[in-house]
This record gives sequence, C-alpha cells and structure tokens, in this order.
Amino acid sequence: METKKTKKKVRGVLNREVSRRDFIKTTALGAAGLGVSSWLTVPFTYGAEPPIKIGMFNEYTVFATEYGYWLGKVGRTAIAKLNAEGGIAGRKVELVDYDTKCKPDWGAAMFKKMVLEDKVDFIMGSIHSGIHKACFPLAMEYKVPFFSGGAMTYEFTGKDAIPYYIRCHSHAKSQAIAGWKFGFDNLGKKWTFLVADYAWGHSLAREFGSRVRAAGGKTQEIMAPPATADFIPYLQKVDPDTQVLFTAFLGSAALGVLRQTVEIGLHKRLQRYTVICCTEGIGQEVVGKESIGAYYIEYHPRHLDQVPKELHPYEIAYRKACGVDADGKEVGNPKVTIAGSHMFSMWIYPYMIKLGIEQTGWKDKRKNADLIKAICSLNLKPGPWCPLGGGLLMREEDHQGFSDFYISRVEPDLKLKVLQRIPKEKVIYEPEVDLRKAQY
Amino acid sequence: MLSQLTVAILNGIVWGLIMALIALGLNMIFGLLHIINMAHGALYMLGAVVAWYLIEYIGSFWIALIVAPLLVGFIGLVIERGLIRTIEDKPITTIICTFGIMLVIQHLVLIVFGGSPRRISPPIAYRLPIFDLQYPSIRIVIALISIAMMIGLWLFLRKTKYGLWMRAVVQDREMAVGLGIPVNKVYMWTFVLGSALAAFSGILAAPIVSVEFMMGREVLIMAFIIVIVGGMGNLEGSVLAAIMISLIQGVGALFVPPSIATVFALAFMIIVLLLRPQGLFGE
Amino acid sequence: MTNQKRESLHFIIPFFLVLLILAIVPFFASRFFQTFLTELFVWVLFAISFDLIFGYTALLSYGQALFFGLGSYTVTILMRKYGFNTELSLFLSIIIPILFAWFVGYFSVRLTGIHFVIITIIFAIIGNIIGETWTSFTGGSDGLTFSPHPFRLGLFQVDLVDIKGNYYFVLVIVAICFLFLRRMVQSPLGRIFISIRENEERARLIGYNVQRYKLIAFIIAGGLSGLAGGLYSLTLKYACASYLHWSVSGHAVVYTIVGGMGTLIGPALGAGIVMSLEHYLVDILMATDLVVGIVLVIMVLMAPKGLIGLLRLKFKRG
Repeated sequence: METKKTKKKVRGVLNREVSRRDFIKTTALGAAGLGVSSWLTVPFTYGAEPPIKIGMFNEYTVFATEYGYWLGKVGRTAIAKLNAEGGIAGRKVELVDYDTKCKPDWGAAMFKKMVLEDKVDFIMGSIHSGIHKACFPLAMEYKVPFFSGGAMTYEFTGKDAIPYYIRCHSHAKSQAIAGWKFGFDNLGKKWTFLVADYAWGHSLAREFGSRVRAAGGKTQEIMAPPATADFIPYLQKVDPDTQVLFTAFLGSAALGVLRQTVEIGLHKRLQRYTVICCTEGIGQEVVGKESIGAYYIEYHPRHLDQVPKELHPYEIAYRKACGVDADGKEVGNPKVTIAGSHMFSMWIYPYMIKLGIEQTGWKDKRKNADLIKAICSLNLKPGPWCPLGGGLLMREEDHQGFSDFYISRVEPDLKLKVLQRIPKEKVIYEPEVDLRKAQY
Repeated sequence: MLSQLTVAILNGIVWGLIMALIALGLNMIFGLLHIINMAHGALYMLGAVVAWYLIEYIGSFWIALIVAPLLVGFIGLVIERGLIRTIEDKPITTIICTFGIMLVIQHLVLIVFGGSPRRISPPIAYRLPIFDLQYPSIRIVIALISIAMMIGLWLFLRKTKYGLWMRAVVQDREMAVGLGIPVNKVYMWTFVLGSALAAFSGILAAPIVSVEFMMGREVLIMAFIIVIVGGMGNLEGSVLAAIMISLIQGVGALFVPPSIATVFALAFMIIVLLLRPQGLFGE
Repeated sequence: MTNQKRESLHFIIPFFLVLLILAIVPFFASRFFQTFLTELFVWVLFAISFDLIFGYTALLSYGQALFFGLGSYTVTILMRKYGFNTELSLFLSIIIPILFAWFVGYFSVRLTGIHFVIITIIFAIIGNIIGETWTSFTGGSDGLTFSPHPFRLGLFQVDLVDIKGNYYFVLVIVAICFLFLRRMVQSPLGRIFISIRENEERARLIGYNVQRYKLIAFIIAGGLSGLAGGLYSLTLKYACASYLHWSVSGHAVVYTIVGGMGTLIGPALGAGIVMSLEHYLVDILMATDLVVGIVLVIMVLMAPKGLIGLLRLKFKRG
C-alpha cells in the first residue's frame, strides 16, 4: 500500500505544465498587440519622467526551459511588486521580455533589439554562459549594465570581467570553494569526476579537482558528451577505489547519470555528489528513488523548512508572491518544481537597481558608471527583497556577489535536506581583477 | 579489465540494437521512400510523450507500448495525407516541410508537456549481475524486442503483398504504377508504419533516456547515419552499423576520452561510407 | 549575345538600385534595423555560398557549418590570441576554411545524393565535438570575444565597433561576393557546374572530370562560408563552438529552398524573408519555433520551387 501511494505521488509530480501557461500568456499578449509585455499592477499617475526600462531575456524554449520559466516568472513578479511599491524614484518600471532560444547568436540579437529598439536601460537574465559572453562586447559597446541570470563561468567576474557585468549569484569556483571541503571531509578522499565534456563541466572538474588534489586527495576525470544517453561505458570506467562520484550534466543526461549509477550498482560503493544546477527545476521525484542518498550543493534551499529560520518572514512572502509552496512546487501546479537556487537573482536585481538609482540620483545612462559602482558596493541584509542566507555582499573589485551555500542530501522521502550551511564569509576569495578604476 | 571489456562489449551490442530499433522507422520512410523526414526525431519523441500520458492515466507500460504507436501512426497519416503527399516527388522540398513539422511538434509538446524532462519507470527493474557490476535487464529485453521487430519487418517486406508493393515502388515507380500497384497508398502506409515505428522505439528508449521535448534531436542524426552507413532499406546493415558505432564508442571509451572515442566512431563511419557507399551488405 | 546582354542589364540595374537603397538606409533607418541588416547580409553570403554547391552542382552539403565556424574562429583566435590585424585575419578566414574544404571535399565529392549529405554532416559533427571539448583553445560553448581596432582600407577608415561602419563594411564585401558568384555561375566554369547538375552522366561522357569540378565548387563554397563566419564574428566580436554545429548549415538550407535554389538571388531573398519573420514576429508572437515552423510548411507547400520559382510562374502566366 505504502509503495503504491508513493508511486502515485511520484507520477503526480512528474506532470508539468510550465510552458503552456507561459506560452498562452505571451501569445495572448501578443495577439492583443502587446508585443512588449509590461507587467503593471498599479496604474501610475504619469509624471513628466519617462519609465525606467528593464530588459529581460531567458531560455523559454529549446533548452534549459525549466530555468527560463522560473527566472522569467520571478523577474515579472519582482517588477510588478516594485511598481506596486511606487516604482523607482517616482518613475514606473517597464519590463521587456524575450526568449534567447538558448543560442548565443539569437541571444545577442535580442540584446541588440532590447538596447537599440526597445531602448532599455538595464538588461538581466539568461543562464547560458555562451549568450553572456556573446553579449559582453555589446554591453561595452552600448554601455548597458548587464545583470547575470545564472551564468556559471567564473571567469566572467575573473580574468574576463567587464565593468558592465554584474553577478549576484555563485559560479563554478565559488561552488567549489563552498563545497569541496564537505565532500572531502565527509564523503571521501578519492574522487571521480564524470562531467559533461564542454566548458561548464570542465570548469567544475577543474575547480573541485584542484582543491581535492591540493588537500592530498586523488582524482580521476571522465568527460562524457553532454547529451549522453547511455552512461554505462563511462560509469564502468570509474576507479574501483573511488569514494566520491562527482557528476555534472544538464537535463535528461543529469537524470540518466544518477539513475544509471544505481542501475549498475555503483551507488553501493561510493557517494554521489553534484551541484543543484544538474536537476534544478526538475524535482527529485522525476529523478526517482535512484537519487536517494545523493549529495547536492544548493545556493538556496528548495524546501521552506530547510531555509534558515531567521529568513522565514521574507522567504514566505517571496514564495507567496512568486506562487511557490513550501515544498518548492508551483502553487496550483504541484508537478512543477522551482529553480530555487537560481531564480532569486531576478528577484534581487530590480531592487539593487532601485537602491543604486536612489543613491546616485541616476536619470539616464550618463550616470551608469556611478550606478554600477553603487550597486557593486551594496551589502544587503536579509530582507523582503533579499531572502538569501547571509544577505548579499557585492564586491566592487569584480562585481561578484556572495551569499550562503548549503550542502543537502536527498532523503528517502525524496526531499533535499540541508546538512550544512556554508556562510558566505568562508567562500569569499581574492578578487582576480580590479574594476574600480576600469574604463566605463 | 576483462570485466570492463565484457560489459563494454555486451553494452555495445545491446545499445547498438536499441539504436537500430530507433533507426528502423527511419529506414522505412527514408530507405524505402527516399523522403528525408526531419520530423522523424519529433515523432520518436511524440511516442514517448504520448506513452507518458497513457502510463499516467492507465498505468501500464505495455498498453502504452501498443496504443501510443497507433496514435502517432495516425498523426503520421495526417502529416502524409495533409502535407507531404503533394511534394512527395521533391525530396529536397520535403526536408524543409518536415523540418517545419518538427519545429511545430516540438513546440506544441513544449507547451502542453512542459520543458523539463520526465520519467517513465522501466517496466522491468531486475539487474543482471556481471562480475562486480550489474546490468539493467530492461536493456536486454529492449534489444530482444528490437531483433523481433526487425525479423517481423523483414518477413513483412518479403512475404506480404504490401511488402512486395513497397519494394516494387522503391525499385521503379513508373513500372509499379504500370503494374497497377496503388503507389499512392503504398506511400501512405509506409509513412504511417515508419511513424508508428518511430513512436514505438521512443517509448522503449524512454525508461533509459527520459522523456523530453528535445529528445529526438540528437537521436535523429545518429539514426540517419546508421541508416545510410548500413545501406538504405537494408535492415541487417543498419543493425551492424549501429552495433559498430556503439562498440567503438563504448570500448574506445575504455582507452581514450569518450569524446575522442565518438570522433573515432564517426571517422570510421566516413571510411565505411567511402568504401561501401551502397551499404554494408549492398551489392 | 544581345539576349545575354539584355539579361545582364536586367540584373545589373536592379542590383545596383538595391545596393544604392541599402547604401542610404543608415541615413534614415533606426540603429537596430542597421544591425539587423548587417546580420542579414552575413547570412545572405552564407546562403549564396551554399547555393553554389547545392543549387549549381546539386550537392546538399550540411557541412557548411564547419567552414562557417572555422572562419569565425580564424578571425576570433587570430585577433584575440595572436594580435593579427583585421584585414589579414579576415583574409585568412577564407584561406583556412578553403584548406579544410579541400580536405573534406576530397573525400566527400566521391559520394552523391544522400550519402554526400551524411558524410558532410559527420565532418561537421566531428568539428563541433572538437570545438566543444577543446575549451582551452576555442572557449567551447562559452566562446571567445575580442575587440577589433579601427583600420584603414584604401581611402576609408573602418571602425567595426561603430554600427554604421560595420554595416557598410559587411555590405560591400557581401555585394562583391555576390557579383563574384554571379560572374562565376555565368562563366564557362559555371556552365559546367550546371551541366553536372542537370546530367552528371552526360557531363562525364563529354569528358569533364566531374569530381574535380564538384571539388572546385565545394572549395569555393567553403571559402565563402568561411568568410561569412569571419564577418559574423567581426560583427558580434565573438565566436563559439555552437557555430560549428551542423544545424547552422540548416539556416542556409532553409533560406535557399524557401527562396529558390540555383538562382543566387533566391537564397538572398529567402534569408531576408525568413530572418525578418523571425525578428519581427518576436514582437507579436515571440517568434516561437511554432510560428516559424508553420510559416516554413506553408511556404514550401505554396512554393515548392521557392519564391523565385513562384514569381517566375506568375510572370509566365501573367
């Protein structure tokens, strides 16, 4: 009886209707001739000042749609809330929203469209590093502040940093700094990295691997094609004495690697460790029972009861506004899981822009340099606009933000239980660039 | 090492058979009708998606395995009668038409089904112990089904009236018309059968690869390669080609990085194509 | 002869008229429209170079992405890592893809029809895998950026960071390539290409080395695809491994078939129409694949020989 029940529940959670509503929404708007979607809840008394325009683009179709759905939804909610609270400096905020199709060339084209045609003042969104990189020259050329939705390439705030790029969330290097020690101390000294053979997988293997080796551990690297369906040839290459299997794949390959580890019985002799990016927005129920016992690095807990107590007032309001229940599912649609560790960026940026504008008296792009400097020296305490553990500390040197990390394990009830909280102070590393004197 | 090699070879053969099954429907439409059906991967995906809904509401994998291909076959019928029929004799134009159909199917599935992957649990969970590792027996079952399907199709093509007609149409369309073969119908049923086979293989692959609206994209290209290298319309050839690819990938991955092994497998396919453009078993 | 002269006048006048209109566009069009047209020109070049191999020798090459990506990487890597100047790297973005096209073509042109499609796809997949995995050199899927310095070209100072400068630079190069290709398909060489397309067996019997001519077409198409890639990188100041993906070739295939193969002007038209639809439907329907897919299906059903074919049919009737 018990098993039947869980089975039912598992199936129930599988069904997702994310993009239908997203699509219908956008199409309906489109049909109404509202090409540019402005999400206003409160009618403004139009003053002399034109609205502040924020452009957003996300992966709504093609790939990584589970991210795009949530980043888009949270972004729209945040702008609506900002307007309901009176906009920014008395000006209303307008949102322009496009799809990146998960392709750098299309992403760059949309970036141009937002800047040159929609005349946006700021751009935020996208989790695809290639799209970000393709937009770097454009951000410099058009002098538009560009806020990262969830790109994980750490060089973007390292050696490749540009002054117009701002990132409030983690990346491969900070994830490694936060997570390697827990794995090394608790899971084992001998690691095997089975990662997707492209830039993202490489950087995770490099960042985690170098730290494990420096501490005297042993590592093995297996790079498999990103869209691998059959992992057995690669899983059986895993060294017999490996204690920790670190995997990094996206989408169905991420599910495949977790399941097939169990299918060939590897899970009995090693611990599985990964970053939440792999199954973000998918939900452990979809991965199945095979994910029980796997360890994850989260950047914000998925379940409300795992969120640190002091954050609850803000977290509950944030979830309510975005239509998320306590289990990290969409309200009224329990088959949809949140991208909780990534989507907060779209919540915080509008507020950071607001603070920056209020501090600098920004009116238009002429003051962008001051504005970016102000935004990048913010030190946000946890609050309604910043429901993150440890708040958010922005760093002026490289425009990188820091907040707390969490190490979680998949429990037998398929819940991600937080085992350890890593305070942001332990993650802060030496900046690799100094943008304070950069040419804007 | 020996145990690794054994598993690699076993898995190479089994996975090759699964790939051959995926390529089977393509072999029908493409190998027999010479229509480059870009929507084939989408039909493969559609099979898995329809099956997911059926399993959700009926609860049986095996019923879904029968019903979903019928439904997708019907969609194939609509596509063939409604769109492709008028341009059937222009293979180049069918590329764009079926490409458009692929985009439409993928996007409709994204709207209805959502973008994130979902799961179809394997109907057989037993794991076969091999040395210190285990092997999921569902894969062996799928490989056996693949062999059975291929024998069935072979018999269909050789022993039935329709099969005879199909082969006749492939060899000489004008002559077939002259002999009174309903060429139009043969095209239709071949397309429907190919679509149903695509769906069938999608469902069988789903427990291993997860159901996702883009699952057909990478598979499509591998299936094309298998069909061409094996020889168009040649069933044994595509089985051998599929097994060769997955063996080189699997065994190669023991010695070199997996991506290099994939490059080797592809380079090998180029050599085979150059040496035997008529297919592995072609005359 | 007079007939041919009249025909070339039929081409020359409209061509320079269009060029003239395009030349004055930046004076009244919005900056976004200029960047859009710049991108469009690049894809036009890619499409017409594909048309040479596909429309004139009937070889459906899905490997053009390989040369496009190589061209774009040539420009990006030479300028970023080795400090080459713009002119030289753009020139090499023709030469290096030509060398690769020679290699790929040497094997590929032995095959015809669908076998040719598959062998070129396989080469492109191999290129894509190498690009994605060799991250230290190519940047993989993240890609590489660079910033071109202004340079002198004859009388003109070219600044590619400037939208207008970029626009004219790409327009001029693409126009030259267009004339070059048109000249070529009307030359004796072009007639040999066409005779191969029409009847390969006959061309062989007449005494032409069919494979050699196919290889020539393949190499030229590869070089120009590389140039398109190089120009694309100069426009975006960026290159990444996904440019090497075989689906990029699909752009050229779509534009060419929608516009009308074997006409050069057709692919250009096809690129214009499909890209405009994609870019401007974004505003009303998000230009989802759904819309694009429906449009493509309707287009090929209504005009199976491409828009040029449809226009010709209309002309004949009317």
